[in-house]
Amino acid sequence: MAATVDVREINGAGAGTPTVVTAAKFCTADSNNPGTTNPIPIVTGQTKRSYWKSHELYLSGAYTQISNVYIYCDGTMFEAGMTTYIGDETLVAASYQEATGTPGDTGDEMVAQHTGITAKTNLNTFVIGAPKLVDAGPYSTPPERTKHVVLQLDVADTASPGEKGPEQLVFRYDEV
Amino acid sequence: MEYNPKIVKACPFPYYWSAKFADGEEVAQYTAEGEEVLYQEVLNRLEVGKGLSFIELVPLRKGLPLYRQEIDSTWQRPIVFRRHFVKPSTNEHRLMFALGWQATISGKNVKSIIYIDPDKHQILITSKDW
Repeated sequence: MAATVDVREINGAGAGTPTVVTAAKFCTADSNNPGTTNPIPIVTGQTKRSYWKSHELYLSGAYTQISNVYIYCDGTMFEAGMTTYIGDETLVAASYQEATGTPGDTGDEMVAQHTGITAKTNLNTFVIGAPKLVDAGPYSTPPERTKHVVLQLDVADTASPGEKGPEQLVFRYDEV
Repeated sequence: MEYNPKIVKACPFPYYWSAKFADGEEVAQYTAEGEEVLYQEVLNRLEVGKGLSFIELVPLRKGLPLYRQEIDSTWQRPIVFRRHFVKPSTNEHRLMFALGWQATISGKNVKSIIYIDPDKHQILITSKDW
């Protein structure tokens, strides 16, 4: 039995409830599995946002060490008029904060409303040759949770309607 | 090359590591019975000064080569790990294997690592982590 590593999305109030995600999707609700409900509307003259997403790795099984958790994309997340941001800070579980906003309309902007996030960067900045460090670790006593990232999708009025993706967002980690 | 069916069944990866120490002892990621051994067993031996002769990545799939890193424990330390790539939007999971050595030379941690992609049959040899 080697390590089992799951990508989890944390939702809900308080400490939040983590759920393993295999088809993460941005929407205008605090939901890890929205399907096609609560899409992000395109409104002339406005930028609408998804609710922010909190994603972590959950480490279980048997391993000597897991370290060097990074995140990156292919540099072309979604399309024109759509910008995916990542909070500059990566946060321990105790710093989790529930995503807020107006369901079906827009999420609150992460830097303004998340107390653990002071700045954000376009996720397209982080590619395979220059990934963002999420958590150096090392972790060696399973089960454990890595720090989590905070992601948010902004949608301008120049975006085109429809269900988008999947996109090439990747978590990378080293296991011994 | 013959494959131990118990290891093939137990190991979810196309490679497993196997270390041979200078005194002839072998410690591998899987025993002949297919029971997993953590790499900590190798680290424990190195910590008490036991010399390593070499460490290998042993293939469990036809057509894959064996990789061996010889180690002089008087100045080299082994590097072996698996690098995972996971896509949360599709749950796609890819894997690379890393094998090499590091040493402290003139106060600097010098590394030489070979990254092996068993699916693309590609290797990358580098002196830095990436």
